[in-house]
Amino acid sequence: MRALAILLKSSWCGWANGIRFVSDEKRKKVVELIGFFVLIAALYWLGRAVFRAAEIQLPESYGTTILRLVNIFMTLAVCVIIKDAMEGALKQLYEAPDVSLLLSSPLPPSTVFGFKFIQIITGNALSIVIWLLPPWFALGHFFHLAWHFYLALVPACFCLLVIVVGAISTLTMLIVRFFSSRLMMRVLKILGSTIGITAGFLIAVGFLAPDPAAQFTLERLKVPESNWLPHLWVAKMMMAWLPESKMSALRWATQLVGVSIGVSVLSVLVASKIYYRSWEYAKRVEMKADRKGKKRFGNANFLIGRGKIRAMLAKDFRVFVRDRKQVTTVVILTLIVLVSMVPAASEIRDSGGAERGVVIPLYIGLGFQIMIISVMATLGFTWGGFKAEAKTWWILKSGPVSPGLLFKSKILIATCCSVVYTNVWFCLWLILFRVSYELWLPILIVTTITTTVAIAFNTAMGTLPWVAEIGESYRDSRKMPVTRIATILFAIAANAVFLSPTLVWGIVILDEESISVLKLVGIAVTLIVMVGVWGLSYLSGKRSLRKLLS
Amino acid sequence: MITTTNLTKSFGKLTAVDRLTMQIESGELFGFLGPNGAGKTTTINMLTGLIRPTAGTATICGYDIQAQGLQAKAITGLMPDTPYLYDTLTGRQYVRFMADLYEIPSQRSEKRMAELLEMLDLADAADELIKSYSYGMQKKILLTAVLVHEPRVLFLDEPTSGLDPKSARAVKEILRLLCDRGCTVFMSTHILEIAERVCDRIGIINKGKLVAVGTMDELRQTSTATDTNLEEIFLELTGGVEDKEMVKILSE
Repeated sequence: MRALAILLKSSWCGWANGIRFVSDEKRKKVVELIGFFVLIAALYWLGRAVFRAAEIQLPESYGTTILRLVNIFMTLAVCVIIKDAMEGALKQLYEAPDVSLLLSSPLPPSTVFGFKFIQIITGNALSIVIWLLPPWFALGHFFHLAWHFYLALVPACFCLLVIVVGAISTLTMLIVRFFSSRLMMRVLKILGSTIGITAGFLIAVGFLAPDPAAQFTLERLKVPESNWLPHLWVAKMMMAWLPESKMSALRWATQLVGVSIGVSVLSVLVASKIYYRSWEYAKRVEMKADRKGKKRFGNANFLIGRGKIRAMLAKDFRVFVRDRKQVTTVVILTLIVLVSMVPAASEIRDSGGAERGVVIPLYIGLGFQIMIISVMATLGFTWGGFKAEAKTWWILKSGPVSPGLLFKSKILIATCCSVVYTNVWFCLWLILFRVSYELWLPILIVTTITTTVAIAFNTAMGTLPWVAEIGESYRDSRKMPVTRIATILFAIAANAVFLSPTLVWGIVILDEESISVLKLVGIAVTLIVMVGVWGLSYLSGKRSLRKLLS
Repeated sequence: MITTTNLTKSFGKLTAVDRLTMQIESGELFGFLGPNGAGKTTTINMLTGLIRPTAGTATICGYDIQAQGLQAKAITGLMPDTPYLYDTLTGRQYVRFMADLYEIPSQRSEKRMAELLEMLDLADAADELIKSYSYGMQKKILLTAVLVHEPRVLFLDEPTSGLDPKSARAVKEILRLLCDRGCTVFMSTHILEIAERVCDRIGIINKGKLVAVGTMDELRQTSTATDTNLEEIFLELTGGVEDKEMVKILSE
């Protein structure tokens, strides 16, 4: 226990020092907290909407419906916690740089595991606040429940977290110990990502359309009959506070506390037997890992060829497609487009064809969404492209790379990817709405122009010193995350403005049998403005990069 | 080949490099020594255009590093102390990227890359992602990428740290070969034995100031120590003698 206390104390000191001495870390935490606060508020708001919808639509079996709804929220939250616990267990137990040091010291593996177990729990503690508490607070507020309800909620959720983390950590150790292979480690990581993507997707759908989501949920509610799921114990314990409830809080509370202690003890016992050996296996697998990457995208040279700009393009593309975060973002965004397309298709089918009254509103909604999403999908090249180079900036800075070359390479790769992505979706859109073939070319040209302008603007924003955060002048003490976020918000608004011509021109093209000269002049003027924005973005981006490279 | 005149870099009140004036000739292997925080890396960073000097000038092959930065960079190569690389590229892709950046014809660069990878014992690992490399392997791929474009001036910051004895020896041999072919090498190192055995001339910097520069014989002549190996000279010039005496007293 003394060793565990020493480890925890040093870990706490490290965390506190990070906050105390690294000003950038402090600012980062503040920005993170703002983000979390927004997410909490949004989940709370979603919870309120769902409970209100349930009250209006199902008054006769309201109590059961509430339990079912709570079960859905809890399931979603538990999925996210499972995903975080899986990633946390793999990272903390096998990948953290201090594990080798700890296991080589005269500490029993169970102590090391105990320390890591606490680290995983504290690392995921924020999940309780973000994912578990807001719907319950919405419920408590909705029923005007007493303060005991909120007081009991936090320890109940904490017990749930301990149970999940304990079970996942034990399972991870067993898998790594007995089925250790590169494939298995990958499967675990992909499973974590899949859960995360699915949860993120469901939440995004919930936020984008809270009322249809609530309606859909209510129509498909199932009675949770199993008493084996710990999140239901929390639900049943907390439901005891509801008016006219017959549930016993004490029974479920005892069960929660007992099982959480039991799971913790069991995981420590398992760790004492297999943790060290499983770590050895994981290390062996790690030695062989990442060697498969050699042929993936290895033929990009064949497609792109060689030369300065081509080398930069190939490098940017490879770095982007091998970054798990970027790929996950693109997948989530693509799923969102798909979800929007399916109802639009059914609406078209129901209306019996491409009537203008149906097509134009859908064009506005869906077309704009596709454009925004394609621009968002390439943010890794544009806003984040230069920031991602922070550590490798010395390579470009000490090499014969001019600001123009650097800017051109980023803008080219982002534009290519974004134009391809947008036009593929737009082609699908044109097929879906059965738009006349004569209109295809003008629409695709319009989308290409607007996407190109938005990309140029975003790339220029990415070169701003407080967005890129690179170079000698951008030391930790001078980072400005709040200004960075303000700039990004401004850029989002500007993107909406740049992309709007697509809609205006599209409406003109779709709405008129023959286009008047006045409208053609209007289109020409907008086109000139767009070219101007592109040119200004290019010049300002190059200028910013000249400063960063000098 | 490399000329600095009153080259100075200040970070707020701290002067990391103070009026550094020196000249390094073509084909010379110059060892730049100094204790931790003496200003070695700052000097290299200024000479390679990574940071701007506060005052003074520096030229590489006649190109002013500030006014003609691109021309200067096109003929230089840098191997920094910490190997931050594109870890999602394979070693071969990274070297190819560097060769393309310096516009080396592919046939020539491929041949040279194969030679260097073989020489540094990295041929088998060249198609693995850089993130799977050990520290020593990362340094070796860094060196391969620096040498693939055959720079006329090479800046190396602690090139042998983290390398196994075989690779360290290969590096020393490569450097000597490069200098014999006319390449100028500016190398900072803590390993005095390497500096003493390999370098043509040695510069010693302490607290931002160049305290001595010359061949080993020239440095010996300036020293008052009886046992005139580089370690003694270094300690005498950088104030390490007092530390040595303190250790002696404590051991008694």
